[in-house]
Amino acid sequence: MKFEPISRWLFTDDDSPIKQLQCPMNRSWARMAPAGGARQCDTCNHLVHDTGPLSDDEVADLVAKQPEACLKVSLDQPNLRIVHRDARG
Amino acid sequence: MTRGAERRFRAPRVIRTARDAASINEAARAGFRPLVKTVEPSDDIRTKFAVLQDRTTGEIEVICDYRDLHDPERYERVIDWTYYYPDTFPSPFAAYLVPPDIEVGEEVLLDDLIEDHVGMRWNQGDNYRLGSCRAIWTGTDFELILDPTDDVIIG
Repeated sequence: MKFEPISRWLFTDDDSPIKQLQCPMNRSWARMAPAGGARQCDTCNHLVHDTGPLSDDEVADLVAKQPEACLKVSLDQPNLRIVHRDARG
Repeated sequence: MTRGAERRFRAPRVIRTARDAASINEAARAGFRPLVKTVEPSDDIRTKFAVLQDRTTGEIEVICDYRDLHDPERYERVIDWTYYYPDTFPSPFAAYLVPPDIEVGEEVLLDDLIEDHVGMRWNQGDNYRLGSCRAIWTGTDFELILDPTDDVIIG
């Protein structure tokens, strides 16, 4: 996956957009309660899925099936490359 | 959102930001009180890049992550790691559009924060600005509710 921190867009490695991570509530992952393989946001009660252990296809499928699903990305996770606006590629 | 969450969670009112004179004046004519502020880039907000050039073709690769490894036989680093302020804004001032019925102590959501605060820190030295923030209306300004920052983003 690729993540562009300024626009907050998450892409697959071949540059297909997955989702813009734009939660305005700035909730803390560390303070969310575990809920199966995800965590439960205590603000709006959505499940938040960790993209760290998932493949590009798994994340894209998840968002395609549940467009309202929330995702968590850590800038240091091994399956992620950080890119900038004019530097995607 | 579940039904239970709908009952428990009351979303704060969203306060919009206008980022040019025409938009500010349009909002004022519509009944909002624009709270005008200067747009002041913070030295804390910064990100980095380096440019590699293919020694044969001349094409370049822009990299932003120390983990990006490239063959030094093929690529020359023509710009070494360089930090810069990454955000751009249409004008050096902006305004929160305060609704006339806002109450002192009301919690709101500033969906386009004018002030520069770090919203995400990366241990490679990059700090990205906070885009939106909850805040309390004091009667004259918004008191920001700032949470600790880390390298995690949710959305």
